[in-house]
Amino acid sequence: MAEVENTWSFERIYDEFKTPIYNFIYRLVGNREQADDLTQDTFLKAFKALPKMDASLKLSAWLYRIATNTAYDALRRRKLIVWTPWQELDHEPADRDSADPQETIETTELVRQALRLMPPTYRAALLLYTQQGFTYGEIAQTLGIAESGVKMYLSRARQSFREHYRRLDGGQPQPPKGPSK
Amino acid sequence: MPPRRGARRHADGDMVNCEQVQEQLSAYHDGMLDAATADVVRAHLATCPRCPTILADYERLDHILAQAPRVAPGPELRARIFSSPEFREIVRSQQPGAVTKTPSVPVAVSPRARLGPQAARVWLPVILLIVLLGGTTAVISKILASHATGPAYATCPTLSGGQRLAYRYGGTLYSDVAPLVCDAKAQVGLWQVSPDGRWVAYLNNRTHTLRLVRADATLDHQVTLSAGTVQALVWSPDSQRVFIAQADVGNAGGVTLSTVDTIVHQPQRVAALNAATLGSENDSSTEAVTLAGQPAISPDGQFLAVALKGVSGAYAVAFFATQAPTGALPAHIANVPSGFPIDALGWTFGNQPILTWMAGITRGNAGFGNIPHVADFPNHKVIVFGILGDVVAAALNPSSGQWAVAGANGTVTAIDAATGAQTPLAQLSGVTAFIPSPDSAQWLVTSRQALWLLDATGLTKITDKLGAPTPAWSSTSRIAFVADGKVQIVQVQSGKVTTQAADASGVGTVAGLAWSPNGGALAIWGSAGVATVAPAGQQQSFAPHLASDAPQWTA
Repeated sequence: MAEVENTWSFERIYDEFKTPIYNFIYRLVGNREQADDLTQDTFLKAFKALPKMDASLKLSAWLYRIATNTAYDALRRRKLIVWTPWQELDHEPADRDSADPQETIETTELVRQALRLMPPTYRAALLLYTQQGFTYGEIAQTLGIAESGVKMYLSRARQSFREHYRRLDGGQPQPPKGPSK
Repeated sequence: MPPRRGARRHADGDMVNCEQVQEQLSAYHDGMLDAATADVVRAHLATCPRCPTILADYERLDHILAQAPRVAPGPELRARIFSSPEFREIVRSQQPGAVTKTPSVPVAVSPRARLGPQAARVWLPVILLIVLLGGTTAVISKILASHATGPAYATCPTLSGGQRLAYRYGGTLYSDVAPLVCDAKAQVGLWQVSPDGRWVAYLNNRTHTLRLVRADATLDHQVTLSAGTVQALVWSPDSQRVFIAQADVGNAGGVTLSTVDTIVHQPQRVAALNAATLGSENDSSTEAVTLAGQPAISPDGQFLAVALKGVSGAYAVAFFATQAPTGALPAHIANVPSGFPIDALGWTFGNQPILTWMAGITRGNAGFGNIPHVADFPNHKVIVFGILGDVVAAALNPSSGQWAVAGANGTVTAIDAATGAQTPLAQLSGVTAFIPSPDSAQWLVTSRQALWLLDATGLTKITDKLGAPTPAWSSTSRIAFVADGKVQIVQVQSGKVTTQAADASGVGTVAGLAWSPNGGALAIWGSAGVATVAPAGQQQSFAPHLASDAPQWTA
């Protein structure tokens, strides 16, 4: 029914994208409260701009771009103001697929910490590729860079993530520090 | 890939080292290298002892990242976004010739409530108007149409599971933060949540149909056509059927009881009640009968009881076998002596449900009746009816099978619903109501502005500053009430009363309280909103809506 569809347009967008966008932002900033705030900012920015956009807009990439920029801005501000510690492991996954909960928790924690230690720009590219299933072209569009840049970002991202993950997995202690720039 | 110092010569003659290859490994892994470069990398991997390990790690770590649990936002974020001033501003700014005055939210909410849920629904009509006028929708719809994933939204967005508070507002139903009925033209009338909390039966007064919607909003469908003037909805205890009491519009008047299966949907008439019900079938000027209160279904779902009133002032209690064939007459009619309006009707729990009622309280001379062996139908034992005198308040405790009765002289007595045996409990003047414990032989007693706990040991005072809403008793023995204008939650153990306050800011003047079935949350509604609070007293959700009637919990 048309009226219902019209009425719920903004809410449809939110319901469609709330979990992937929230998860993406959370993985970027590592903090539930801040992820709440930034998700809110992301959707409000999108709602504000959406009516001015062309109908050919690729909604998904556009939303991730807003989310990325919003999160980057926040990370920059956070660095200037105060470092917020990363939260402990969240136990509210939207989905989980593992036979061994303990193993999942340990792996999730390693992923969380390894991501935290990566430069945010590389972190975004890696998350978009591995968790959101974006192509190089979509990542380029989302991050506002060339496809060749995506290749470089992902290469650096994987190197960085592997280095930190292996170190953490090997039990070598990491000195506490905030998210890398 | 130009050779570097320290490079190893490959069979194809290219000089590459590990560092160079490793810069390409990521793209190689993703299949994003041109063929020539990929060949070089492949050749290097065939002979290098280190680089294949890195490639394998990339493969493994990609998989780990892909499988990492997704973190979802809490439900409160949705309301927070759609009730935010920024969102309102967006909506307003997109309206052609937009008014500059910001519409005000009709309630002052607490800071937490402001972050909380469903204020968005206030703006629904505004959004609709703006969207329709502004042409915004056309663009959004096109964008949405080009977004291929996700099904069309024939119903409301799916709601998360667990206990949620459903309420009626503005002609439709809501569940916590979200709409439960998304037909913009619906005019929801009577509605009732099923005992298992999974369904909501409601009447659409615009189309005169009975509809069922799942508590998670995933299905909203019509189950009857032309429901007519429905006076009551009652669920079967197993949540499989809905009973509908309809006013007959024929010459003789009367009430028709039907049942609708939630799966089969085909309505089936259970009974037709008319003047004959009151024993006047030989009277050509038959009087119409109407329902005198909500029908009551037995705990085993086998019988449905109704209190009836004739226009001449006669009353009767009738009960029916719910599985009776279509058009069956009532199983039994118990005429109540003239002048005894039926005040309360109920069933006791247990293996032998007892149908019992209290009449005449409002006339200053109460009578008590019962049918103690309904299950023996049609060989059931017929009625006991005893005169109790001037009673000011009475209530049945189904779990204990007793009535609590307060006499005008201040005596408080327990009456066994099966035998009529009376046991003095206490002396208390000015009793206005009894509220039975959900699972024990205890009552809450209101007396003027005092609230008491009544059990076999006597009375324990909880407060003497009781407010208007009826106190609510949870399945975990918590008691919620309003005192001094604030919502209080108390627990009484061994005569000791422990109290805590609940955050009801924003709700305005509290109109009602209701515990969730597991006692995990309390609903508070009032002149300015509907809120839920956790046992610790903190607010969980808030909507600035004036609920049209008492909210109900779903599961």
